Amino acid sequence: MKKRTLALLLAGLLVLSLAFTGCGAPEPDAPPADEAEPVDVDPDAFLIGITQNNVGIDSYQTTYDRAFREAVESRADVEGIILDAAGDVMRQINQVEDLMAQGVDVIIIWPVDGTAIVPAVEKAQAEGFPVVITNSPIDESGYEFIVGFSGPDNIIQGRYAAEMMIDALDGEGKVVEIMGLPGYVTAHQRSDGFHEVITDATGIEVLETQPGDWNREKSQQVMENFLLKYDEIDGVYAADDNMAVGAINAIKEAGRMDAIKVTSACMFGDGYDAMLRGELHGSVEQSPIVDATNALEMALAVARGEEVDFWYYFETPKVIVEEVENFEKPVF
Amino acid sequence: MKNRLINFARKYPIVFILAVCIIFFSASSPVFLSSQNLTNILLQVSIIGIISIGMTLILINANIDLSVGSILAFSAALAMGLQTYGLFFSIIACLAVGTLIGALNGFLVAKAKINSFIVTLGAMMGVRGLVYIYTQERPIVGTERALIDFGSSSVGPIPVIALIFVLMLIAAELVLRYTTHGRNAIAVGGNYEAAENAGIKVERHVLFNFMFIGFTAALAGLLLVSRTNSATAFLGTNYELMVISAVVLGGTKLTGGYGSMLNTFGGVLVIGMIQNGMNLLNVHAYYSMLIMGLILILVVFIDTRFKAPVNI
Amino acid sequence: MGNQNDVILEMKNISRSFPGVKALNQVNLEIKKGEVLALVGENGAGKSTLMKVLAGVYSRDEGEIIYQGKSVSYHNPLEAKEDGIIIIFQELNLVSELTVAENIFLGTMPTKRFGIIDRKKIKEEARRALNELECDYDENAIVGSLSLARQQMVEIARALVHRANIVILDEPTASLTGHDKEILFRNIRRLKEQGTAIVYISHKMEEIFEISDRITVLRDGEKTGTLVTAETNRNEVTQKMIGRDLDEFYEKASTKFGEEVLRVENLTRKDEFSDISFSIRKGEVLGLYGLVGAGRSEVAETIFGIRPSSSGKIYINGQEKRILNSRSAVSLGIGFVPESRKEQGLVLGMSCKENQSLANIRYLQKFGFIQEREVSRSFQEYQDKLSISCAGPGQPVVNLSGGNQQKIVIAKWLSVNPAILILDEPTRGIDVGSKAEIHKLIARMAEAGMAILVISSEMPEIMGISHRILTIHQGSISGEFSGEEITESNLIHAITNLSVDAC
Repeated sequence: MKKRTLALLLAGLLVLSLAFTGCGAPEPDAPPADEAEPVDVDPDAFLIGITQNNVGIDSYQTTYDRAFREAVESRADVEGIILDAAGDVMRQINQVEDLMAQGVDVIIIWPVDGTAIVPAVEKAQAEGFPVVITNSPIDESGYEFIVGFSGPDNIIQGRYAAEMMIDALDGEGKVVEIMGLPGYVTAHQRSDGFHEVITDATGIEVLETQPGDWNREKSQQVMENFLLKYDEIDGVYAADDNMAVGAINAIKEAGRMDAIKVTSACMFGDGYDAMLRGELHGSVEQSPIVDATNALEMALAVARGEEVDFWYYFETPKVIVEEVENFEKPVF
Repeated sequence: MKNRLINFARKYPIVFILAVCIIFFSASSPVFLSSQNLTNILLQVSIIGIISIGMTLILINANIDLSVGSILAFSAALAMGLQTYGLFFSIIACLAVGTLIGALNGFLVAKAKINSFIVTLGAMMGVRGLVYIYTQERPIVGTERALIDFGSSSVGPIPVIALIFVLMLIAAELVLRYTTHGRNAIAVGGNYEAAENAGIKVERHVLFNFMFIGFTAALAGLLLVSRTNSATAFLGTNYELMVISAVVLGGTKLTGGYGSMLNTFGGVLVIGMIQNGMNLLNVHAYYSMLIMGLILILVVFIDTRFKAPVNI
Repeated sequence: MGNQNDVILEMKNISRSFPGVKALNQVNLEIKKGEVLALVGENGAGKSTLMKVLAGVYSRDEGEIIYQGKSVSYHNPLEAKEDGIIIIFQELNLVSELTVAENIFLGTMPTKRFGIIDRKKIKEEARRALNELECDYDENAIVGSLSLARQQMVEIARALVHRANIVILDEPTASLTGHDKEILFRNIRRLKEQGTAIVYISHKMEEIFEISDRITVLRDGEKTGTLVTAETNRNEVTQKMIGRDLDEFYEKASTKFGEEVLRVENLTRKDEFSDISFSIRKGEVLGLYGLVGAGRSEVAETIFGIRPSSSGKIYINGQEKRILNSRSAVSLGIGFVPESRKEQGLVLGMSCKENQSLANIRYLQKFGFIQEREVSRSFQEYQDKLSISCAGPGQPVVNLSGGNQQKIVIAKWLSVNPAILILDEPTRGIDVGSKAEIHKLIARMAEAGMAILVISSEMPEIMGISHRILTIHQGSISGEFSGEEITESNLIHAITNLSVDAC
């Protein structure tokens, strides 16, 4: 009797943990709020499959997912199989195989891990499936197996952040950099773009670069250390607003907000608010909706047999503190 | 006839559920029963499946191992990171370290008599910590092409990874059925004291099984990176739950003393089919988890509620 | 029969202490070839400890064991087994998930190449041993599906297969009833004729006199004497066991009955029992007697709501009631002292007072906080009434003797003052002294107006304490006896009347 109860309890525990791994995200199939009725699908429609990184994990990915579904539903010439790898590399590879088994016309991958996915895209290419990578580039070794990349140009974003920094400091000053999680392409590209431009401004010196791992708390600690180490800091570049807000917290605590300008390479809702308060000097807008529709457009062009550029970037405009009210606050 | 069918479903709920899965998914998707897709399913369950072989023995012993996901991640990282010392060395080191961690678990459970749930919960966290330290949270990429060539090769139509899984499963079933080790596994889980009093070297037996599951987790890690050529710190997260679910779905009891590898195979297939079928049907990942959870509860419910009591 | 003077094993001056207890003090014991030596004593007297020292489960602090002329020391039961000494523990040492044959060879399975079990050999030898024991059941049967008696026979078959010189049986009949006991005894005699020495540990006086050749009595870890069975009597043995004469062994409550409290009509549970009807009045003790597996406990558990009934009606104080679970049974004034007190009756990890207050805890709390002082007071009240001997209210029940544990279970029910009390095997595994106290207690509770249903497989007990006895056979009531009709032969006939369940 006791043993049985224990078994049941354990089973319940297992199930709960399984169920909660994907918790915390809004209803994925929620009907579009103000969208037109879904269009009937053309029998000759293209079949596009996508495997996303981890839909429930943040609102950027959730918004992307919703925008992609809406875009597919609103078009007659496309049918979509929209999957989520839930952050598991192995599951993403399995999903690529499942998409191939269903004979999709194009496979879109938002890679969980830009290197681990390479063997899977190699296999897809070998079996004649064109692959489009979305949002984050894969490792260079995989470029030969894909038709292209759709997403933001991280190098441009880095450059924009540098340009805004140079303007803010009038080309004179000492700057520290907080980069994303090393080992991931996005982090390195945003850093590279920043350095390309900032080195042109001979009056600006980059004191040091430390990883903030995309994490707000970690970035705050990194900034606290910078502030202790350097008596003069005129500017901080963080690879996204999340890390920028962490840095701003540290700067405010140290009472040096007036002396330091902060720029970032990707705007989030919290960064938008910080900009309204005048704490963040500049950031770069990156819309998940445009990200999603861009990826679908590129995939459709591939499906139609059209020539596409390998790098299919979408616009990511600069946002500086004076013009922030012209932009919508990001939902993520 | 109807009664016999019900009895069969009671006795082997997993066969029944497997049949329901096959009927449902093949009716909903024309692709499901294609040989390509069936091969895919087999390949997709192999990693989880190999660990499930070790887990079946552990559960028959009335123990549990929660550390397999972490062992998998650590072994995978070593298999990638140590390739600079040669492919052969990295493979041996990967498998040896997994077995060693299993031995440590086994020692604490068998000799120090600490509850296996606690021991392996500790190992799950501790080894994951090692993974973070070793990888610095960055992906480690392999340098040896041979491993990945092996991982993507096939024998006839069967992917070599799936073949390894199936062969290991058959061997394990034979061991469970026909050898002393197999009988002892049931004896130890069914009545620990009786087994000890009968002169079975219980501690050595339990230690061996923990070493074996450590080995299977390491092998699973090795085969996983042979498909990705890259190891990250997050590999294998939640795999222990998937593996335990698969084994329990197969009808092996958490309370020990009963279990079979073929049933575990059934459980593994059900989990694989649900994931695959949900992908084919374009269902969101959340729902596949929900459904898997419900099926798991259903099976345990059938098992405890309807199975004829063995004891008089 | 072998030579009576042929001493095969001698234990000399054996002592063994556990923290705080001297379990054995300078005990001497001689076992002769081909004899049945009964080892008796109250619980805690050291019988099992002495045998566990012999088999190597416990080490000894001092003393010597001489076996077949050589001094021996075993470190575990396996070593003893290899030397031909087999101990069959009180708790059966079987794996219920394995077959009969596999259990017989547990730990010593013969193998062919690659560690593959030689199934043919196992089955053949198991079959031979079972045949020798006149057991007609399948060697491929799963042990868990067999009755307790048959399971015990599997253990004895194990002794046969390993050609034991000495077989130690620790309380083998604790869970057996009449017929099964006969089979066991027949097999004990058979082993004896082959020259095997048997050490028979038991509480039950009748059995000891039926089967043994000599009786060694232990009290408080010391030997108080060895008697030749044919030359002694129960009184002498009892006296040596408890150091005094027992006054009256069985005590019947007075026969002033009140109105009917419980009536059961056509109570049926599929595959277990059918059409059970009876009633109990205030102050009456009704005995339910039958073989293990006849459905006695199942009836009790159904009345108490542990198992649902398939059909039938239960009336409490003349009103029909539906008892869906044990909670509703308790609220209707039914108490239940279950058969296996360790599994069903007690929370072993809890203290005496916590166990005692388990059923009435809601009267001992304020705003959800347990009033510890009230709990202790309530426990002490019952400790005095029932003379429970324990170190204090906070002592864990695990460390108590069976008799005291049982008293705590009874005290638990007394504190909610039930109108009906069901006791399932209330004295199983309890020493003679406590047994008599529990019998007295039952009589006192009945006199206080409680209606009592007692289940027992010990005929003298059920005859001694019940006013009326119902016999149950294969799930049906096979007879009802009261007053003069209560005789041994009537009862035996009633519980076995249809077909004899061969071993």
